[in-house]
Amino acid sequence: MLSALIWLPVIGALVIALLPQSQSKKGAIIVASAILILDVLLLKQFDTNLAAFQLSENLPWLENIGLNYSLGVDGLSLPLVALNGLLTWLIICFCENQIKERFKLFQVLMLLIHAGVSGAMLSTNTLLFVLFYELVLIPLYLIIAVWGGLQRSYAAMKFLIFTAVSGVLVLVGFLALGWLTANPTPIFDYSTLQTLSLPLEVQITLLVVLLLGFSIKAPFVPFHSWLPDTYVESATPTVMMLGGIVAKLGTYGLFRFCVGLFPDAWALLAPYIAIWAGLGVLYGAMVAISQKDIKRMVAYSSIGHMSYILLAAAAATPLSLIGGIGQMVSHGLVLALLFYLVGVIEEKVGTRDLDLLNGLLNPLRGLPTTSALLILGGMASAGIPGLVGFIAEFLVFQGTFTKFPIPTIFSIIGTGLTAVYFVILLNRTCFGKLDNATAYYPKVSGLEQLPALILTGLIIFLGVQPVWLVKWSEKATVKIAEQVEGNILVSQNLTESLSSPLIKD
Amino acid sequence: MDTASLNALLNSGAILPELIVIGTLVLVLVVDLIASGRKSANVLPNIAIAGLVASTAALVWQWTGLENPIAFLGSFNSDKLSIIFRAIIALSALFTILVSIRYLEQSGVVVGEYLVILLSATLGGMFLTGSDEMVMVFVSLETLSISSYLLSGYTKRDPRSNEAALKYLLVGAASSAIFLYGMSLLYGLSGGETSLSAIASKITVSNTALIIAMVFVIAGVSFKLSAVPFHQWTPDVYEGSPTPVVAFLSIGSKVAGFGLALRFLITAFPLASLQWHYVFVVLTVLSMVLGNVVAIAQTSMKRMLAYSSIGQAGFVMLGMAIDSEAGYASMVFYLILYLFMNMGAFACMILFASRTGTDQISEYSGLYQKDPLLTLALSVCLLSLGGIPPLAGFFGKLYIFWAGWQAQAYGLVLLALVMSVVSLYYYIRVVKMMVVKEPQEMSASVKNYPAITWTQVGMKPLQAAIVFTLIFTAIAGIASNPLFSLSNQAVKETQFLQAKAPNAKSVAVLPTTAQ
Repeated sequence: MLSALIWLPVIGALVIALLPQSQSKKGAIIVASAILILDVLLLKQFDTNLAAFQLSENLPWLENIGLNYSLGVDGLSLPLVALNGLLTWLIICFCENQIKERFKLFQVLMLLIHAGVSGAMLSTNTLLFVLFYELVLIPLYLIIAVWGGLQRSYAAMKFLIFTAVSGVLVLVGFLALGWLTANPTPIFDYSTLQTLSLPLEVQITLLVVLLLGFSIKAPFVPFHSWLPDTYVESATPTVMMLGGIVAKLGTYGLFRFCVGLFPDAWALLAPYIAIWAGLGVLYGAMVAISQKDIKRMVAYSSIGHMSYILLAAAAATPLSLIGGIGQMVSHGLVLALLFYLVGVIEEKVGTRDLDLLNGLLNPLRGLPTTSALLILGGMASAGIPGLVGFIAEFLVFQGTFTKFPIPTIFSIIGTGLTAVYFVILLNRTCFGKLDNATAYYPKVSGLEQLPALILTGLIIFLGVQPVWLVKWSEKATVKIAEQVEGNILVSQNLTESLSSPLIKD
Repeated sequence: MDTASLNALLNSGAILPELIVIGTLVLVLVVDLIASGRKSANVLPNIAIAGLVASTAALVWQWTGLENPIAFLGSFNSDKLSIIFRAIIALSALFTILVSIRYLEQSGVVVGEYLVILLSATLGGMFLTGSDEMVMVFVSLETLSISSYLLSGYTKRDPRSNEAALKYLLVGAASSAIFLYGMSLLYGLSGGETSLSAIASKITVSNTALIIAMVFVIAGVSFKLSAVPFHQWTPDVYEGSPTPVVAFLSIGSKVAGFGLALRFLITAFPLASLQWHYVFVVLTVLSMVLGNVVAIAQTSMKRMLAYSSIGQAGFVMLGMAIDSEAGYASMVFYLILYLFMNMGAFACMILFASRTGTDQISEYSGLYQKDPLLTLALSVCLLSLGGIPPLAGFFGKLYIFWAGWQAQAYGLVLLALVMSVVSLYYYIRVVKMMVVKEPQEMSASVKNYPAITWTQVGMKPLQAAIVFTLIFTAIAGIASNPLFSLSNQAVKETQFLQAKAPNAKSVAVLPTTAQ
């Protein structure tokens, strides 16, 4: 079952590469739909009462170095795997006109990225995780470098180097972790690693290495400088995939490995991480306010929203963790929607400049549906109740407030600022009057609107029925939180003995 | 001494693969004399290929079928390690012939002598990896070197080829002289022993003379490995020499060098073990940094691959520098994969050069439109050299890094990881040229790219080589278990690597602490 999720896109990509152009489209749609169906089946089969890995698969591979093909899904990975399937399906079925040239290669690369992301999220062996994590690198590089804006070559190279460094850090972290015990064979199996109890200073060192690696990918604030360039220079479907799901590899790694494997060190560093997250939220929002380009604005909003997840992880209460996973899904959906709509606007209007756009909500000559959806997406992003963003953010804040009140308040201020820049965006884009000289925009066809409608439907549904957002990961988050909670006592004693004055709660 | 016991002492079954190569060589010479012109050009490569296949088959038989690996009164040792290295050399020669036919045809040079020289270089390399005695080492080293000089100057109408040959000859001869001087010191120090193991047992104290001998030996060996700072010939020779020859030099010759380095240093210098490992750490660091950083600035594909091969040698030497069983196994494993990755890259380069007549990286721009197969194969090989999963190179590097971490060589592994990011930059630059560029950015060479025909002389073998290396590079990583256990087995069952195992500083410690 899980293998099928990884191998179906890979084999599909190979077959599509060999098909002639005319049939490759159909082939890709069939493959993507099959993946989506598999995801739905997976959601049905998943037992939400279990915290452990389910549907595990284990095959010996390179046993000598401890690299085994072991997969498993739990509440942490399941929502993201499903999101991955959904976004890939939307992109492959509906995004042809944003790509225009060399669509076959695009589909092949997209399916490979999908396989890599799913593989990384499903692997329960750390070396296997690294393998899939690096696997995504080249298809993404190509997909950024071939399709996109004028500076795409520069942006792609920047992305490549940042991500390669991130991969190196993650690999170093895992190698070091694997060799820590004085075994003749190292341990790379996640469940076994979880049972180790490591000395605190070792935990902190490894945690910092892994945290750096994942922070580059997510990205969190000082390591984010690849993001604006890459997001802005990428084509719409690329950035939907990149921002929607690939960047989630960073936050997933954060939850799975940083919080999951080093609970003591995490409990010790959490206050600093929370402050870091709070500052990240504010930074993202402030910088977004000053942007003139709507894509860049949405890109910076993404930086802010990813920092909520860092905050959620820092607190590591069951509530905040579930909110964190909810925020990953919600951010994936909302970001995909926003980037899609921005892409439609850019394509029809021909500009992304806030000073040139105006009056798109005009029912006849403007782009009324797109504008309406953009308003809805902006509201979802800013955390308006009734939409999925609110649920996730509220869970995060409620979960973190008791532990880190000040960073939480920072983040709440950040939410307010999010509303500020989205209002600026909506005001300059949707409202106002059309310029009579330039307003002869092509019509947006029904098919072009479909992905946005599907995403909006999901955003509203999950906002009204949040059970469907959170029920998958309840048990898994409780398990992680218990680990950290149980260790907080330990580490408090430790910190008392270390007489560190900075740890207050 | 009667014939039977002499035969037992000589144990010529151990050099059956080399005997086959010699037979082929003679056959090629004879047929070249009898048949003339066109006909010989068509038939000779096939003979050579058949001979090398037979030789490899003999090596496969030797893996299990050989009872006594020691031959020629102890001067040749056909242990598992040498079998693997000899197989890599034979295969690299085999692929070199496959990719040469087209090149020779186009440059209008004689096929017969080329094959003979190539086969004798192969022979030298194969003997070198199994030689256990100093005279034997030197003879085979010179067989390899002299043939290499001849090969690099083979296209004598091209001034760059002449320059390359002269440079290679001068540097090579000087390094041989230094190596020979080091060996003469060893001979004197040991009181007149030539066998490597006898030298080790005779020299009981580590003194300055031994260190000097070691340094001189390393200087000679590093020239073959093109380890920095003994690398200066590499870029110029690679650029000037005929491309198929470069393919052989970067694989066959280098593997022979690694075989020699392992056997010589481990067997003859047990007392200076710490020192030579230290020297290798320095060489590794320098090679990785210089090879990879300078490769970024290259504009010619051949020069870039030259610096990349220096960098790659650095990665392999990491396996040697850490001095552990897993380190040696990872080194063997990487060399096997390197054979296919590098050969694939060279084969693609030869094909591109034969169609367009240039090897500038900028001329590859927009190639995906005209030749998807070449684009795919070259991209896969380069990305594999860069260590991208799920290609072969990723697993090779992973094993080296793993072994390095096991041996607690943290700094080396970190540096190697950073350098593999650097190497990704220049490998992806070529991929970017081929795949990313738009049709309007196509280079002049690609615009005039001739229609693809596989019927010309030498095209079929070239195609076969490309397709085979492509498939191998793509698959061998995922299905690397057999190769993996093969290289582990080779290290486990090789006597001289085991003899030193108790002295190994780090790895031997790990299992004992576990008990």
